[in-house]
Amino acid sequence: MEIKLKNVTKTFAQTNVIEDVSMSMRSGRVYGLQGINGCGKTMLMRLISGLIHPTSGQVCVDGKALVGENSFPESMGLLIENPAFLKSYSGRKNLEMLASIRGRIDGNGVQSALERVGLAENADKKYGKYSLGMRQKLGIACAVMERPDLILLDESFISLDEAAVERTVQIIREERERGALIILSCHDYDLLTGCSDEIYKMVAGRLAHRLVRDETGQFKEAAL
Amino acid sequence: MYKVIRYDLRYGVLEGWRKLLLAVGMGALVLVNCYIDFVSLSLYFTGELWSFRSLGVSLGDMIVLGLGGNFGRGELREFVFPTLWYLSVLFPCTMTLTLASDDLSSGGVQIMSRLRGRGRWWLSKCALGAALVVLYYAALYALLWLVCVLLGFRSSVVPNEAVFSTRLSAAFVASETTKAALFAALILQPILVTVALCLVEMSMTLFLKPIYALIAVAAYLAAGTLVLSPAFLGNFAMPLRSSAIGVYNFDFLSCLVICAALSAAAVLAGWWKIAKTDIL
Repeated sequence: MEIKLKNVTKTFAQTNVIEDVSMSMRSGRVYGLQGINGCGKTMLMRLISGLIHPTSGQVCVDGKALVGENSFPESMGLLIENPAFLKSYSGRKNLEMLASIRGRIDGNGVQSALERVGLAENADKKYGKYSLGMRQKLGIACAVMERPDLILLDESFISLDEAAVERTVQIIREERERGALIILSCHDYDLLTGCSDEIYKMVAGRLAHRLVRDETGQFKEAAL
Repeated sequence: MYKVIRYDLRYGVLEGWRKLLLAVGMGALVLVNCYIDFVSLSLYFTGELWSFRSLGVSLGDMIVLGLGGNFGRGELREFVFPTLWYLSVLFPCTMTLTLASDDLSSGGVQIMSRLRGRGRWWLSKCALGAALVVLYYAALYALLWLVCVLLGFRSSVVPNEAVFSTRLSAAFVASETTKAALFAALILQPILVTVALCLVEMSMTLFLKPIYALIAVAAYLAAGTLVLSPAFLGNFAMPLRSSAIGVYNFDFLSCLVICAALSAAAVLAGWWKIAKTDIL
């Protein structure tokens, strides 16, 4: 999978929340987005996921622009901001219901995803009774359970305890090894550098810096 | 597409079953209204308060008296706002009002991304909205039918002539109508109109805040109680104004065609809008 953004600008009420962003991403790599609150990380993820349309420019996945009825990448798992599920159903049931839409995985696949995020013991509890951390884990399980080609995780470490953070980092590494393209945003710079192959620093809706990990494991400034 | 409609219908209906309590509440209001009507009729015909069983009333009478609407304004007729009928249509409109917006702020994004299509998501919401309306009316009519059976009333949709003409001070033309036509006028037309209105309202919530969509539909329905015109769909949903019971030409076929056209337009408008909408 290859994602290309070509001069993408998104404007809300005459304010550019994303301004002239061009970037290219490919499978088997983790891309980190860094920047202060309101710099446009989530908006950029929403543009890539097809949830919002660019005001100008194009988002292309494998050479095809995301437009019209097919405005979503073909194989995508996402957790953007807060996870949202049906409160009166268990975590397991929520995942099973969503998995049934595409039919790519069965109950075992759901169970496996729940185990990966460490939620198997609480899988049969109602989602409405979940703590913030458990909700976040379920959101991560939902994003990765169908082994999608593109995984978007926006602030996915929020509310997670130390062990859960470790587990999530491990999941990100496993998914990268599998060949998924992962886009991650996080305020914890150490965590971001620990997971990512490339980091884009955003300032006021623009890409300000691009850091690429070299052979020694160090991040070096690269051309945008 | 089929799978998501099945998903929405199974879980949307189960998740929203509490909304169907509105049908029970509406049924209770109709029953209280009928009780008052039947007691006064009993007094009028038999001189006793509690012998309304002997009047020979039917399910049709309950629907006509409770949910029949009104005959409209006339020179010789005092206008009375049909509150029960109005609420009976407005309740399902509130049930389906936020189906789309609620879903977009909860699991809808996950469904949409799995469907890879906003339009397909929208169609499944429309199917759910229509299903909820049908379930609402099914629950409402089932409750009225059950009360009819328990109290020993006739469970027919054919109204009692004496009850009708006495209570409504109007000519009884239903004697010249078939049972099928009465069933269509009393049961099907309100459902068709409400489904169409709910779809229009759901579509409007993609353009406006849901509360404005509800206000617009409520105002449109209220206007329909005053104006005898097919431009106001409420006329088709009032059994008293149907060609089967009343003297007006609000017939089933016209209702079917207009509601189908309006529903299709609402679905297409929603499809067009959701394709352009930013999901934040």
